[in-house]
Amino acid sequence: MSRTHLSQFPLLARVFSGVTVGLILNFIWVTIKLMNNQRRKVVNLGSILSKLKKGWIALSPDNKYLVATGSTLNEVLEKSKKVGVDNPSVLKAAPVKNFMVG
Amino acid sequence: MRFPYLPVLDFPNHQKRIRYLPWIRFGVANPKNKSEIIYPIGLIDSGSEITFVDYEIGEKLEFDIEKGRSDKVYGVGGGSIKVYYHKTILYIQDKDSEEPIMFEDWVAFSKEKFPITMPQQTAILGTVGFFSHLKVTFNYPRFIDIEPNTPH
Repeated sequence: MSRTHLSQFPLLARVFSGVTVGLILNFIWVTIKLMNNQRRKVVNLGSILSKLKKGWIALSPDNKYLVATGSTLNEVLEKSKKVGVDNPSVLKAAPVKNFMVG
Repeated sequence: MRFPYLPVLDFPNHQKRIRYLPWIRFGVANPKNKSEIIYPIGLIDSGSEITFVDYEIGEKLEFDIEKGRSDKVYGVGGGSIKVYYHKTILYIQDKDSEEPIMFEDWVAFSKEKFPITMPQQTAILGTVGFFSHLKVTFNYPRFIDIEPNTPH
């Protein structure tokens, strides 16, 4: 039975297969990163509040990520706990596009 | 402690607009149960004489809201709402600080809602309950510095 040794492959084929594996790994890494970014998209408060006419929103403690929305404060606090955020920032829906004086 | 302004992006008349609002996260708790703290995002408003927090937060913290001393407060347009004052514990803490600035003061809760057009419905941080304990420096649009008020 003949055994295949690495040195039997031409150099070009070895380089090509190495590059291919590298490209595939890179593609997987970029895809995972993009998926994570989409899941943890930095919050655009204007967009969220313009869609939410009433109820509450919960953000991550750094106010950057949306954690939950709900009709009551209790609801958003419970939803946040379920996804592992025990102390979210909470905000009631409001027409944020309006200007305020006072 | 240093807090960023909260950026809000919208597109009035299809034109991109970013506004930087002086809204910060703070903690509020009932002195009878200090272990439960809610963290609303409130507007820092030097024009407000009191600190106002939405009644759902008060109920969650088990305040018997209507047992507090009542008063009427007036805002833009001459409208008024009835509020009830309760002693609360307030916590101010930025992301880099290990210890919060903590103080006890009166906060107003109301079962009546603010006018629906008001862009901040959760909490307003005014003189009593906020500025009277703190030195606040606005550096728009970069940051807001908040330090404990030094005694005179």
